[in-house]
Amino acid sequence: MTSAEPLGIQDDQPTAWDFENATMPFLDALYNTAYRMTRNAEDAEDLVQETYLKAYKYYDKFQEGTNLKAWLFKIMKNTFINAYRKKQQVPPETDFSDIEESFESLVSEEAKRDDKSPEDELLSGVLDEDIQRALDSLPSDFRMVVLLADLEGFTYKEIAGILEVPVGTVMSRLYRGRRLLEAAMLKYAREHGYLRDGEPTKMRSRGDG
Amino acid sequence: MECKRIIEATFQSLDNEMDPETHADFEAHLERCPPCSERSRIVISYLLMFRRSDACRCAAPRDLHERVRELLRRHCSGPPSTSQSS
Repeated sequence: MTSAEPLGIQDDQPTAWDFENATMPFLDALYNTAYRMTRNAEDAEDLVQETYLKAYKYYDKFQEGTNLKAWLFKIMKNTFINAYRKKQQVPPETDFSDIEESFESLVSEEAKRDDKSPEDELLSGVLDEDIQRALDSLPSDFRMVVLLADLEGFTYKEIAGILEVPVGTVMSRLYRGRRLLEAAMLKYAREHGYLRDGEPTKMRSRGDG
Repeated sequence: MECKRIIEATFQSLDNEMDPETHADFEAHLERCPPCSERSRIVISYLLMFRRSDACRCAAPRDLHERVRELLRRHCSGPPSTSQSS
């Protein structure tokens, strides 16, 4: 898999050409994560560009045979934290417990209302925009792990490497993040009226023939 | 396995991050505990819906690829990590 080296460059030095070929396939994935983290197209583009510049600068530190995609995401995470998070003044990580509890009560409320399992009906009422809003509503630490695990398919170990936290922390953030996500999906689906209190009307016709 | 660990275990199982022994334990619990089985099914359906949805996936703007290439060529004409004095 050795691509032709441009003239005059030593074999053992990665070239700009190598770098581009190796990293460009990950641009869409990086952009998507950047967009979901910054929630803003312009910031996302800046973040991606800065990530590429830094990655290029430190490319000699990248170890052949290790996970290039994870390495790029790690650089982007650090760039994001330095550039954006400071500005945003994220609230401390203790604000979510009541959201989570409210999810539990929403679910059990739904479950009590109707003896058959409510989630199938609920799910069919969840729109794309609910899913987006739900993800956007997560505190950034949780949003990040959910993005890395569920949209990018990284393993726990890879995520731990990207975020520079222990695997146990990845697991607990993922647990919280996903539960908050469910809660928010459910909440937004209800808000736009697919599920009204006491009458999940629109779903009725679905399976009942 | 305790009931209160079921959702966590469901995630680990779905992520293929569970050792076979714990997995067997988990499956056995679901077999004999219908409420847990139901809870597990609910969270799986939500998570799979999220994973399969395109709602939170977007490609980079068409010209970003080109702009990044431009940027790299402009800033990094030499091999990577040769220091640039500017």
